[in-house]
Amino acid sequence: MKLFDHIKAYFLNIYEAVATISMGMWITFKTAFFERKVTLQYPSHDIIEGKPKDASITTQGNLNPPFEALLGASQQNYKGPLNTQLPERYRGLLGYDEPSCISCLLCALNCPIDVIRVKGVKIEGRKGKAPTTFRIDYSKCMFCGLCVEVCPTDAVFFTRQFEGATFDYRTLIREFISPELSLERMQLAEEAKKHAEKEKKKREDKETPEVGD
Amino acid sequence: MPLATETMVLNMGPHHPSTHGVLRFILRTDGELIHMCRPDIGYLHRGLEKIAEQVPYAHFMPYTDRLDYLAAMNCNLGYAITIERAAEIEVPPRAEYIRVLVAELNRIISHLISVGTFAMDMGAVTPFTHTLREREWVNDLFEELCGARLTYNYIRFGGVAFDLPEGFLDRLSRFLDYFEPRLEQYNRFISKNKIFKERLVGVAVISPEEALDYRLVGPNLRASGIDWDLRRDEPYSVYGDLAFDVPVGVSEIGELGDCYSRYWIRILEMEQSVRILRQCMEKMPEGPYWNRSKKKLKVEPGEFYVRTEAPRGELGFYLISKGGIKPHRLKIMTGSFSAMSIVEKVGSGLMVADLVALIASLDVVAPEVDR
Ligand code: SF4
Ligand code: SF4
Repeated sequence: MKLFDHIKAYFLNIYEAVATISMGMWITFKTAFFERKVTLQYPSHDIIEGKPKDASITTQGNLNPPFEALLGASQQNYKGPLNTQLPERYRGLLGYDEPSCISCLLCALNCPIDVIRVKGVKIEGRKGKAPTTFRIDYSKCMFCGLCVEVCPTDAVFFTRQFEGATFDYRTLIREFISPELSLERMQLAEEAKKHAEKEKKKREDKETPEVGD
Repeated sequence: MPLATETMVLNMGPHHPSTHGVLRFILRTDGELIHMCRPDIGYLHRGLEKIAEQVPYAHFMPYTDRLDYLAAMNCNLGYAITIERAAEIEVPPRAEYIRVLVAELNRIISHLISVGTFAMDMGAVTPFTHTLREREWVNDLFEELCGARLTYNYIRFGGVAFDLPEGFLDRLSRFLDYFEPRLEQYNRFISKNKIFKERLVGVAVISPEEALDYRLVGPNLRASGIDWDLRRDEPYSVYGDLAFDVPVGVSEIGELGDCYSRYWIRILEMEQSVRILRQCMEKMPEGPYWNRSKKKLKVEPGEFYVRTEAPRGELGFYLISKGGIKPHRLKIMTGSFSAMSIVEKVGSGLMVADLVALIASLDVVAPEVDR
C-alpha cells in the first residue's frame, strides 16, 4: 500500500509540473501572439513615426537631435509608443521665456542644487528687473519642478523635450541671454545710473546755495 | 581517508544581476554550501541624511524620491507627514485621499517589480516583462498626474502639488478593472507553478522570533506570521476610514516565513491595495488640494518620530529640530536596511542559489539600504 502511495505521489508530481508549466506557457503564447505589442526600439526607432531612424543620423554617433534644436522644436507632436500624447504636466527640459522674466531670483533660490543662475539690472520701461544672466545647467537639474512652482510670471517652465543626451556635458550648460544683449543692458543700466546721479547732483547743487544763504 | 577540503571566499557582487542594485556579499563557501555570508553595503551611499541638514525643509522633498526609487510616493508621504506633525500644518481632506491613492498605487507597482524580479532571479524571465507592462500603465498615470515617471516629488507640506487631472479617476478605474484579472493570471502563470514552488517552499525560513529580533518590517515581518501593519495599527492620513485586510503569512502553502510566503504576501497585498484604491475613488471629496502657506517654513525646536508603512515596511523619519528653516538632524529608518541584517543569520547554511532566493524574497532595494 505504501508503495502504491509513493507511485501515486510520483506521477501526481509529474502531472502537476506539466500541468502548471503548460498553463504558464499558454499565457506566454497568448500574450506573445495575440496581444498588442507595447514595446518600441528606442532610440533606434523614431518615437514619433514608430519607424527606424534615418541611418544618416545614427551614423553621426549622436542618436539625438542637436541640443540647440531641442528647445525650439515643436513640443506638441510627440506620440508615445502607446500612441498617447505626452501629458500636459510632463516635466521635460526646462524652457525660459525671457520677455516675461522679472529677475526676482525666486527660481534660483528655490532650486536645491543651484542649477539656475540669474542676475538682473533695473532698466527703463521694463517691469521688475531685466535679466542680464540666465543660465541653466541641465546636467545638474533633477527635474523636480520646485523652480517652476514658484516663478510668479511663468517665465521658467517645463517643455516636453526629453532627448538631451550628449557626449559633452558642457553643451548642457545653456545661457539664455546672449553676451551682446547682456552688455547692452548693463550699459543701459550704467547710463541710467549715471543719469540719476547727475540729476541728484544737480538737485543737490541747486539746494546747496540755498542752504548757504 | 576523507579528502581534505578547503573553504573558499567568494565575492557575490557588487555587480551581480540578482543583488538588485550595487550590493556585495562576501561568502565563505564549501562547494555549494555557504558557511558564512556577510553583506557589504555602502556602495550607494549618497549622504541623504547629511544633505537634509544642508537644505531647507521643502528642498529635501525631491531627495526623498531617491530614497527608495521604486516607492517614491511613499517616501514623499512619510517625509511630508513628519514635517506636518512637527510644524502643525493642516492637510485638506481631498489631499489626504489623493495621498493615500497615490501611495497605494505606488505600493502596487513596487510589489509588481518585487514579484517580477523575484521570478526572474529564479530563472523565469517572462513574468518580469508582464509585471513591467502593468507597471508602465501606472507610470503613465503618474506622469499625467505629476509629470514624472519615477521621481515624482508630488507630495507637499499641507497637500499635494497638483490636483487630479480631468478624467483621472476613470482611467484609474479602467486600470484596476484590467489589473485584477491580471493578478489572477499571475497566479496561474507563476505563483502556482510547481517548479517555482518546489524551489521556494521551505527555503530560508525566518521564524517569528527571529523576525522580531532582527526588526524585520512590512511584508517580510507579516510573512513570518506577525500581524503588524502601521496602516491599521497606527493609522495615519485617512487609513483609519478605509476597510482593508492585512494579509499575514500562514503555513498553508509551505512553511511559515519561508521564501514562498514572502512572495505570496506581496500578491495578497496588491489585492488589498486595489481594494483601498476603489474605496478612495468612491470617497474622494471635493475641495482644495493644497493648503499652501506663503510663509517660510520653520519648525519649533523639538524631536519628532513619524513612521509610515512603505512597500518595504516601516519607513521612519526621526527629526531633531533646533528651530529655524533646516533640520538639525534627520535620521531615516528603512525596511531594507534591517532586512539586510538578517541575511548573515539566515544565509549561512544555505546553498549559493538559495541565497539569491533569500535576497530576492526580502525585496531589498540597494539605495534604500545605503541612503
Ligand atoms: S522666478 Fe521666474 S521671473 Fe523670477 S527670475 Fe526666475 S524665471 Fe525670472
Ligand atoms: S527643476 Fe529642480 S533641480 Fe531643476 S532647476 Fe528647477 S528647481 Fe533646480
